[in-house]
Amino acid sequence: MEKLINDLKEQIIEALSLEDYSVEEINADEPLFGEGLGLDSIDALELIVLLEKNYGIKLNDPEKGKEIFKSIRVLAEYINANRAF
Amino acid sequence: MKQESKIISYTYIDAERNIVVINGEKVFETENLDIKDFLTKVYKTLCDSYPKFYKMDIHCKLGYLLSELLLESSGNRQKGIEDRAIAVVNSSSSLCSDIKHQASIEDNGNYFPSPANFVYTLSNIVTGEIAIRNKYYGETISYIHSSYDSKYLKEIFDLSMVDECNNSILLSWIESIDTTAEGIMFLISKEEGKEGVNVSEKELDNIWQKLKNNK
Repeated sequence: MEKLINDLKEQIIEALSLEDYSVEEINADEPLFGEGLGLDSIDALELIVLLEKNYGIKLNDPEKGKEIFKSIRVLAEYINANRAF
Repeated sequence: MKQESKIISYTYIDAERNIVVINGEKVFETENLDIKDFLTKVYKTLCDSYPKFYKMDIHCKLGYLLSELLLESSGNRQKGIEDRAIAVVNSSSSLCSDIKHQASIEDNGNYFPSPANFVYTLSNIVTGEIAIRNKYYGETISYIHSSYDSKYLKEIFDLSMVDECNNSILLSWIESIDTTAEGIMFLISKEEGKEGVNVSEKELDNIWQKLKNNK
């Protein structure tokens, strides 16, 4: 799980252009939206693309996003349970 | 007596030549950085923190930096100005982001368009970025034109000032494509008592020619 969390941090930094952050600075339990990393709605769309591209997970229900994008740890748990590859 | 509108201040960035000029004075220079790295260096060295900068495409980064340095240097940093317009002219529109977007959708087997890139596939986004950053509520507009053209810029200025809601404008030429990212931004005001040079086609041309010839 810790490796997946680290991979996710790297992928999120890259995909969302969070150049002010390093992997070490991102807390896996902090909220992704609102506070924490302060992501916005475009970032949410980018995360949906990332899930499909890197893990073969298609998120068809936007409401699901609210649940699984709570934090990187929650996202990693969801990927572990649903990944296609 | 009719009050002449004044060029209060201007900034110029040529990312290919790695230089930043404010009001004719070279204020920053590096060597051998590519366009993206140079713009990031300018941001980190001369600007306040604004993490959204990293999400912008090259065109918006250039426009954003021009506006930040212009407003800081001219002491015109106050936010929420309701009578300031923003007009940007360029030649290549949003082609840099368009090409990236095209690359992400041309292979049906690897079809992953990036929303973060897609939002920059319009040339007027840069005006919105500047307006949002500064809470400007005036007119914003973007024009496509073949090259820097002082006559055209002056006409845009005159047209903008026909609207009595506008008392000042950020007027800019911003061109970015491949290895080129060059822009100039003027702060021009028609408010009384402002110091500066009278705005004219000739003056807009003189400033540009000096910048281009100052190797």
